[in-house]
Amino acid sequence: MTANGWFQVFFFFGLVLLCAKPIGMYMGRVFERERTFADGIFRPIERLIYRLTGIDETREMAWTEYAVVMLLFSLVTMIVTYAIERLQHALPLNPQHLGAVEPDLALNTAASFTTNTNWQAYVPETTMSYLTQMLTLAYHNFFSAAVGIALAVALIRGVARRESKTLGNFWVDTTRASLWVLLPGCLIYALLLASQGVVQNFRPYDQAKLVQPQTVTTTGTDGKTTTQTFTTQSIAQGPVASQEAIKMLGTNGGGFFNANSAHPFENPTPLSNLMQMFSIFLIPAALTVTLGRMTRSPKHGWAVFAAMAALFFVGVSVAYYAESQPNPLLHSVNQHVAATQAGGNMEGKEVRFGIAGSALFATVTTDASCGAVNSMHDSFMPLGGLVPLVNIMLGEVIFGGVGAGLYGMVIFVVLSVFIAGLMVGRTPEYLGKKIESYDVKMAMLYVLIFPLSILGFSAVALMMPNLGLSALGNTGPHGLSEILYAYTSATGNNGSAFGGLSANTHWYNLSLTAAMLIGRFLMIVPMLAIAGNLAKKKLVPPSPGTFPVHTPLFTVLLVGVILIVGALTFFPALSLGPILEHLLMQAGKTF
Amino acid sequence: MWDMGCLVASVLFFTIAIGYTTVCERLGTKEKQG
Repeated sequence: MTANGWFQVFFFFGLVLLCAKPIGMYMGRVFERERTFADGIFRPIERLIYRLTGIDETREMAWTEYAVVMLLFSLVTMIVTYAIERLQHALPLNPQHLGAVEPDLALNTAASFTTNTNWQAYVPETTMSYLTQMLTLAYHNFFSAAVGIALAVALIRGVARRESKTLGNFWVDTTRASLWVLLPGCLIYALLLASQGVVQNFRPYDQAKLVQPQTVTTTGTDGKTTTQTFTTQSIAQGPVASQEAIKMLGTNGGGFFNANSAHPFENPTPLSNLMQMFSIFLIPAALTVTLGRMTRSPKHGWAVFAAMAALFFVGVSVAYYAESQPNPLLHSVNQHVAATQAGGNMEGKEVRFGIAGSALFATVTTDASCGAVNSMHDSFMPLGGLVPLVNIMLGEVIFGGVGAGLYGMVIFVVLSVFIAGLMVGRTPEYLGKKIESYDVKMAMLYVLIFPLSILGFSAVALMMPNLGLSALGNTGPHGLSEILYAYTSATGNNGSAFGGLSANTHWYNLSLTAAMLIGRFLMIVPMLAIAGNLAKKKLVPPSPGTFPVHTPLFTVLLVGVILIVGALTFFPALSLGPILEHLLMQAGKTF
Repeated sequence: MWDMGCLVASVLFFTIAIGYTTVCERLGTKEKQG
């Protein structure tokens, strides 16, 4: 580890801290329908959208209506995405003449982008046309993020309102999240990315003549060996900057290219790398301030921010430490930090980002449910790879996905105050609302669905050699980590992958589709049920038995609850995966 | 055939999710009555 590396970590987090308050306050004004500086531009557009679609912006929805409308909206957009993928060969903006996407892959991709997961079981530059990327995938990048923000705002309203049957209007919240928050952010951000060298064009792929022709020998399924000599290389192009902006700001993470943010056209410089990490955390961090503003308890918002920050620093410290250590299997190699080498584990990392920039990016992208990668998590040291896995397993609440991180964290807050209430023998309260049996049942439903999907699907995949195990690139504990990571990433709606698993098979496409849908929608419903129930409640004045939710003690309890729930649930699986792999590596074995 | 299967599976999942919403709501109503 170097001082320069730690400077990168603290500088990045300082930027997030600096911008969280103004952006959070701005979002608070947007969703409380107060005047903002952007009203002159967006209010006429918003009115026009409502007039054209027949939406009554003054009509509010109960939690059930909010949930059903969100589900139907997601279903329709998912089907449209599927149809466009299947028909892309007959549609314009396809200069490479790419064919229709295979049905199971098209379904997986449609579910992936609808759920803000952006798991990609395909190579984008050889599978998706420009139209598919821009019309459907980018559309979902905006709207899955906007839906996430809308849901978080609905939950905040549930906490803030008293004796109310409604949580707001889904259409209005989604529209305002898109127009006031995501669209202006992406316009500025795309230009900044283009300034760093991220490409933005509709050209067919460039053909570059190779200085040294390459001969490749392949063996077909019939056992025949074919040798080909290549003299040219295709260099993929496309409207990348505009896609990249919402990919990061909306914590989507689906790369325009297969190498994702490790590709020099997606993430060319250390500055673009910093901008990408910053944009992943910006909205999730700012939403804690929005929580404080809308509940009239700013200190509570900061207490939640502090819990997220503490978990972030633990994760990045472990990942950076693990990746900076010399590989014990390379005895005779000098692995010390020097002017000419980064030291530590550089496998699967870009030289322009180094170890600190890669470990920080991996932590950020899995804390938030982004899933973009600038290095290959599969090539991390076992304990380095453990960090992204654990980050997702904790429920994507360390800042988390836009909206999803905050509502996940508020569920843990409900559990924390419940546990605190049990400790002192008083009815638990959260910001003046009594937490009752129904709230805790829904919170437990939310918490239990997550490991049920991850561990259930992983167990089934591990028991089926022909379906689950045949796609593995590695054996032993590393192979287990690859399968576990895939279902964790899908259920957590993260979308990053341990390379090594060839996931474009019928089994993985379909089972991961199910995991993504379960992890998104079956968790949102109990969350909205809590919001609806809290909104109906009367405000109880604070008493000596009230557990304050703005103190360092609350932050410690919240962190403890998150760690205990995550650790107890997943520790056995982690012991057989990355932890065992680490111990075996120390003993001289690799997989 | 695959296309029809994918369409039916999608609609089925979201129908289940809507049914699940109703179950969660009824659980809340029952708790209040209890």
